[in-house]
Amino acid sequence: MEAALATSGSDALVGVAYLIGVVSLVLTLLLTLQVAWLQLAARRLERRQRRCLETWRPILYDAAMGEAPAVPPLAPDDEATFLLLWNQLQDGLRGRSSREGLNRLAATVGAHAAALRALARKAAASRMLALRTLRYLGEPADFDRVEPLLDAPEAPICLAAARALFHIDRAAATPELWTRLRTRVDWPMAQVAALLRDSDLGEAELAGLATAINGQVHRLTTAELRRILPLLAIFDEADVSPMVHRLLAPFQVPEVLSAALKEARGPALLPDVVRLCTHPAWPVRTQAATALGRLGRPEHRDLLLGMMADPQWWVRYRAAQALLSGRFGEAGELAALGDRLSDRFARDILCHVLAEGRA
Amino acid sequence: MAREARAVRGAERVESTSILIVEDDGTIAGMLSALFRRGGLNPTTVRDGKTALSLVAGSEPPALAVVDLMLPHLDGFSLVAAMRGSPRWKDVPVVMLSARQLPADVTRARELGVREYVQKPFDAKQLLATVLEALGMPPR
Repeated sequence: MEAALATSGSDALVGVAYLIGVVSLVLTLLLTLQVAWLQLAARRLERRQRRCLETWRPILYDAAMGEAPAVPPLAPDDEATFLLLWNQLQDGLRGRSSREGLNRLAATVGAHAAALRALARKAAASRMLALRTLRYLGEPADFDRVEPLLDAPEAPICLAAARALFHIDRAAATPELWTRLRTRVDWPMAQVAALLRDSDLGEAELAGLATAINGQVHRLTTAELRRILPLLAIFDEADVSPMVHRLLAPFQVPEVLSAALKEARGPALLPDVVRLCTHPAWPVRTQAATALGRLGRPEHRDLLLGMMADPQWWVRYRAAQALLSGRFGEAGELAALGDRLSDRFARDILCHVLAEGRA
Repeated sequence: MAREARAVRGAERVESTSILIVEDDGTIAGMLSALFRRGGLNPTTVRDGKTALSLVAGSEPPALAVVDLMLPHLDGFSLVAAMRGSPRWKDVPVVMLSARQLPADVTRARELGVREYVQKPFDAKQLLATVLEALGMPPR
């Protein structure tokens, strides 16, 4: 009886092991088939893309040279590759005949409709490609289609949409961008500044944007101010100096003072800069020393010499750099002056910066 | 008759005028190649600085080189410096392309004897005219 039970138990174990083996084998086969299928699909895609490139590259080159080549119909599967090539040429070339030739070709193959189809897709890459295309096509009717994408959760999509809007209608795009600048903490300001710089904004549009920022500046929090202040670099000094002056007021927190000092460009701000050279917070003194290097006059030489004895290394370093900026005397004369300095830290930092200049 | 002979000789010279394009962006390299072929020149394209450097070491120099500044493996300045150090390539006129327009880059290009520093995006027709002028050929 016991022997029979033991035999049936081991039979069950063998059965389970057999079943696991068969399932593993089937799964391995399925996985192998899937890998093979994926490889085939990738090769098919590669072949299709190569065929598409061979067909469309010469046509696009002819179009970019202002000619009107014979154009075959654009297959739906080739739309993405075509749009990518078309955008690469738009990015790489300028000149009216190139732009017109490429836009004529886009109209012939129905690139606008293809871009709208790509815009409706969920994939971020498709939407980015669509926005680049709509930007270069510059159809006024697309403004309302693109504008909602400024509120997309993905910052790159928002910025691509902003670029497209600025290309389609700069005047209408400026307030749309500004209303979102405060709330979208995820937008990299360097990219926003580059966008505005590349948009060839006219003097009036830039002044309008500066006025909009100026009107809101007192309502912004410290964090918002720190984020938005680097944008001031794109404006004319005259448009932003009054705003920077207000931000350099004694009651401002050190973070705002430091950020505002970076944007101090006009001589009208020199008294503010000089005052902040003795601020209790060392990051403010550091930025003040740098600003003095841009704006200072020979009479501020003693102030900088004093800052070179500051307890903070960065303040001493920026003060020495400012001193040697060319606004306060010749390097040789300043080196001789350094030898006569009584403070050891001041002498050391001047030697250091002079050596950097010689390297 | 003499004029016809001169024209034929001129055409032969144009046909045989080789241009080296060093550009990593395939689409732009293809565009440059098509542009120069249209201008009657004979372009050769390489996609990185190292390959171009091997040409400098072992090949006949072209009539002119169009070099992108930002290249994989070896940048445009290093490539032009190597060209200037080669007895056979040292006099090859260079047109440099770059998306950067930093004054320091322009100065460095000038120091290396770069004939023209062209900013990207570039105007295709203007670039062809620049290259033809550098080669002493009439504009097309």
